[in-house]
Amino acid sequence: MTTEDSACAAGWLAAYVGTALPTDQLNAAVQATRRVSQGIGQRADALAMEDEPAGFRLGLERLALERRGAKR
Amino acid sequence: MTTDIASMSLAQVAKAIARGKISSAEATQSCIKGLDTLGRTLNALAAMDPDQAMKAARKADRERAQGKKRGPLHGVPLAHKDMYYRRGRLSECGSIIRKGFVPSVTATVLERLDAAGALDIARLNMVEFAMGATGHNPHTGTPKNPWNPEYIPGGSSSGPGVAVAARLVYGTLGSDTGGSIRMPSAFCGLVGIKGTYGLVSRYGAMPLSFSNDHVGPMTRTVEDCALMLQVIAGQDPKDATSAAQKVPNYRADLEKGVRGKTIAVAHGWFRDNMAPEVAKLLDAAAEVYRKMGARIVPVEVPSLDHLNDAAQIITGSEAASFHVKWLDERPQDYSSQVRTRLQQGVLYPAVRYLDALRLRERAVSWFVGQMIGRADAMLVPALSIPLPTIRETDATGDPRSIELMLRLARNTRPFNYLGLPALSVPCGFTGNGLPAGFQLVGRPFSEALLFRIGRAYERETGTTDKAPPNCHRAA
Repeated sequence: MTTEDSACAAGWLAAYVGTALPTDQLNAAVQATRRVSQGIGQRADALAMEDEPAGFRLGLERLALERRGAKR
Repeated sequence: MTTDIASMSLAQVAKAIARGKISSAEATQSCIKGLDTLGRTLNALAAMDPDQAMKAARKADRERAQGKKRGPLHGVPLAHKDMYYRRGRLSECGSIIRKGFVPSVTATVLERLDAAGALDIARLNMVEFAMGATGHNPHTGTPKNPWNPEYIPGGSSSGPGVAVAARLVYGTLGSDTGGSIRMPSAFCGLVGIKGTYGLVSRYGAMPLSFSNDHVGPMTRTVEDCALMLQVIAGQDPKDATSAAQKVPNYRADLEKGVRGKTIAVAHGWFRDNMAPEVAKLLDAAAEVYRKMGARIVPVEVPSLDHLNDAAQIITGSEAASFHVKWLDERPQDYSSQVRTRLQQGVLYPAVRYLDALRLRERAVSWFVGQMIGRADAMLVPALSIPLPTIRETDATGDPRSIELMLRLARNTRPFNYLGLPALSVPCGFTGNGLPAGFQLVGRPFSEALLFRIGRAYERETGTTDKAPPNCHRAA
């Protein structure tokens, strides 16, 4: 079972949230969540181990300093 | 200058009060009257205390008479989305869950507006917990677009968009996690800005997504927007994500035009399935810039679906984290649409949530380096289709509503994930008579440049001069 499959299991959802969604809503929610998670998972393969969330704010400040320095 | 108080811009009314041409009491009385009548008809108002508002206005007038000016917004009546906490005052966030909630702190942005002399005269209606792009709210009533009450005003800052467009107040604070300032601004014919992530403190604002939330102003003109941002921007020790950036004078270069500036015009993904009449308005806007001396560079933007997906994981996970206790204990107190979205947020694996955050720095470096490149700003559509009606986007009604709703925030959400500044500017009307707008997106902390570029277009075209037919007149 993949990460997405295990995390998106309907029983897990019901247990965690403590309420049952109507089946049609649950299916749509699980399907959408799984598609989005898988897509990001594939993108994450390109990441270096050192990349971490805090890099984003440093990146904004660096890019602000580099004004118009980048080449298209 | 117009003689009708309600029709004045924020900058005009601030100047008129400062010079004693009108009193704060007169301006506030006009706003109270508008909010109490049209504000209720259009469902823009959450709550108001007229006596308190008038007391504050008369105090401002007394201070002015004594030569005391608090700041650039002295005596100017404003009203904000009902999610900005003020100690001791209700803040109900468009919800049942937070009905009766009285915060014990005051939002930094409200403190800064208070210090600048602004009056906070009402709480404005909003989408339940700021989770929705259309403006629908089954608990408090759906605000109506003043250009045509059958149409959505956009969300989640729905009441703020309606109130400023209908000339009920001079400016407002919205919040933007996926486009909630820029959409109602574009849909109601207003100017709104989501600044760079970290520019404006979010302390004391209801959280939806710690990583994607932005606070910003919605106004009738570019100058008004710059004026409000000037007051609220800047580092705040109470907000851990606040940036240590010097805030420039946003109005210093406002009238300097765009000659010699380069504007990248977004094509590719941003033009997918775009209605021809919207494409025509965007092309016309680019042409206006070209005629004013700007260099126009079309840019083929590849799919940004993954940025929207990443934003969705982050917002979904963080919102679920904030709401999970209430989801367990009071699921029946959410509207079905908001509850479903929150429950979906519980499903995202923590690994993928972290992946989405870790990918962010690379994404913004790529977008700034490769898409904006050497340009000063990028011109991007706010919405690719003509504005839909309230009925068409009712999640419990028309089956096309889900698809429509997904399309609404498609062009705005990527910039929450990227954290880049984005200014929404009105650019005319589609065939249904409703406003359309474009976004000017820039490098981090380039808000002053975006205002300058937006102002050049506004001055040339006069798109912000027009008032909707359903608007308040004081005279």
